[in-house]
Amino acid sequence: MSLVAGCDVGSTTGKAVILKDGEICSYAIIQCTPSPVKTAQLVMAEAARKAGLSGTEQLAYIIGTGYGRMKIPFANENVSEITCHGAGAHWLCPSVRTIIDIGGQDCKVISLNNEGRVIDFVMNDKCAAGTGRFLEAMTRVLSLSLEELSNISLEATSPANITSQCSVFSESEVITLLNEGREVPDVAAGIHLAVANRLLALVKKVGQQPDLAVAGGCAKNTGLIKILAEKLNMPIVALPRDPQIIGALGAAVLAGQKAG
Amino acid sequence: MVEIKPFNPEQTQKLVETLALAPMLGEIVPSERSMGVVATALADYYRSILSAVENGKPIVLQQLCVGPELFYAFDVQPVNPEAWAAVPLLTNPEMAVPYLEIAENAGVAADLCSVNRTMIGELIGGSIPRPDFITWASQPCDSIKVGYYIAKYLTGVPMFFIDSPQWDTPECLDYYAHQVRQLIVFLEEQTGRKLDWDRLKEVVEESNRAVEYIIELNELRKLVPCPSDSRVPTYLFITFMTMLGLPGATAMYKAFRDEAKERAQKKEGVVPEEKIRGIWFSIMVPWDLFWQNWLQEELGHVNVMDMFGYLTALPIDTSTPDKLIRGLAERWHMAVPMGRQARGIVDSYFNDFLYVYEEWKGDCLILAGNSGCRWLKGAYGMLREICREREIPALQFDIDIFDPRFVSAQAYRGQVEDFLTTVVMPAKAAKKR
Ligand code: SF4
Repeated sequence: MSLVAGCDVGSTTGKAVILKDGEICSYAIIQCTPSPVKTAQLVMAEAARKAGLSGTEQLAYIIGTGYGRMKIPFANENVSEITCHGAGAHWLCPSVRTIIDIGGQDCKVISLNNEGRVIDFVMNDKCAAGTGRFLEAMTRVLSLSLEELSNISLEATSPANITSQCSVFSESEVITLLNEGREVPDVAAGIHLAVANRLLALVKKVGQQPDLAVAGGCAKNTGLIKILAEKLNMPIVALPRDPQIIGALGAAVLAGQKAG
Repeated sequence: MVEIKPFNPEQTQKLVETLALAPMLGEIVPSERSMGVVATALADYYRSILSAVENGKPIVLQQLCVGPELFYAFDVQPVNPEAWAAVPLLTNPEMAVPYLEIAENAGVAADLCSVNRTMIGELIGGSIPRPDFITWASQPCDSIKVGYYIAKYLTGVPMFFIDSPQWDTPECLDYYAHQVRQLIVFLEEQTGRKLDWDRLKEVVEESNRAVEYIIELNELRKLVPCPSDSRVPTYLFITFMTMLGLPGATAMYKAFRDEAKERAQKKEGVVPEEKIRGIWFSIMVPWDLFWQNWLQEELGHVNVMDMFGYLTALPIDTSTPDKLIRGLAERWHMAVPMGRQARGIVDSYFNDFLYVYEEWKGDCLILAGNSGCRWLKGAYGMLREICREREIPALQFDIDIFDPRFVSAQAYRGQVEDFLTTVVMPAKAAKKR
């Protein structure tokens, strides 16, 4: 029996995936603590518990990834998020050529070839626009949960125009739109449109190749995915597993290759 | 009216002292040998500026696309503000920050390229000598135009401006050469001296010797493995725009050439195992240039050629004054990096890259997008597409050329490292299979 794991410590959540004989046996997602070390330990312990393991000792190889990857104490090695997202998406869905990963505080678009090798990528990591943080900030203004924001935007009839450049300006724009009497669904759809426009610019930089999939927590936002698919003029392939674990899964897949 | 402070030489004196230590470092750390050579030449350049200020020698604020040769012939001290701001970054990455703030506080738009904002801040803050006159050319960009007009407004000194034509046709070069002649008249008026053609010939012949070394050095950089350090192209650029025509600059290029030749003869590269031959065809990151050492040593990445090192200058025919002037016009108009690439004709930028990529046997393209540079950044998207069609791995990231606060070293380095390890190395391995 071969047991390996991947652990992805991001800016807002920690994810861990355990593979047993090349199949997903368990995974866990937790909110980040202020300490990346602690986040890694907690999320790994949770995934191990779900797999019926007493700890990480039974894992033959562990690869760490994500923003806090240097701090994962039990990892045998660490690999970039880009490689891990590529490996995870390719493992789940070999036809995927373009992955949009919408993380908590950055977003990236990765281009893969038919062997799953990363051939290009582009990142936005200096601005919250187009990231999970942007959506979170908007939910606060609208007093909605992320799930409510997603659902309500599907009822829009005429999405509002909101800047895709800066989340601070977007917040005041949203308040102005509400004061002007715009319907909440239209404002919610406008927020998704702003994120989609930002992502579209990144996708164009690496070249849009089908199949295209979205990873990260925001991939669960159906309102955003619908608008993004419209903007891209291309269907978005639904990954057969939780899109939030793709990086950790890729790390686990690479750990499996290392463990032989 | 913004008041400009009198020149305070303290910062420059400290810089000279620091640069003077670099050759010692070169003795201890062999990889720093090049730095030692360039530091000696730069220290001399700064010393000559300090002595010009002290002795009342005329000082010209000289923009990068107006070469220094003519000024040395006139015995006028050129101060190139682009290099003036860039060189101290080698000793302190945050050196430009206070001047950027001074410029912004004086009302200069924060989205003007920091190359020009720093110059303005340094003029106001008194860290650059107050010039007696200003010369500049309209290439590469609008940012330069704005910056030099503000410099004129602040100092109130006479200004000479070369209207750079868009193209490189013989008519365009005639037009440029005509302006070089007018520049001579301007300098004669400002200095009260007639141009000594023999002296100009002497300076240009010295610059020709330097150019020969540069050509030879850049040829050697084509070898696999590359026998010359990743930072050398930046040093070539800085000294090309400040010291060309001085024996010190020629000696420095010779030292770079000798170092590369010595390694080449032993079939050695600058790194024990060259894994990636990078082509950085954009601005570099002057406040983090030493990171190139890390890339060399840890990842085996050598910047074999970049936009600043791709110096296309040729020796100038000095047999007649007309030929000499025409040669200077060609050199300034077509051979100054950044001026050559960012002046608006994107085709020549793309062709230059493809030529460099082939000739210097590149493995990838790296583009550092300067936040204030709409001219180069505007072309990057198209260049990436050209690379995609040819399956050339390409990375573009954002930084600010002089301001390390815009995107941190950690953030941009992460992207470069990811690109080299995730995209370029596997692509090379796949090609070999
Ligand atoms: S970096 Fe761009 S904007 Fe700045 S001086 Fe050079 S060409 Fe002009």
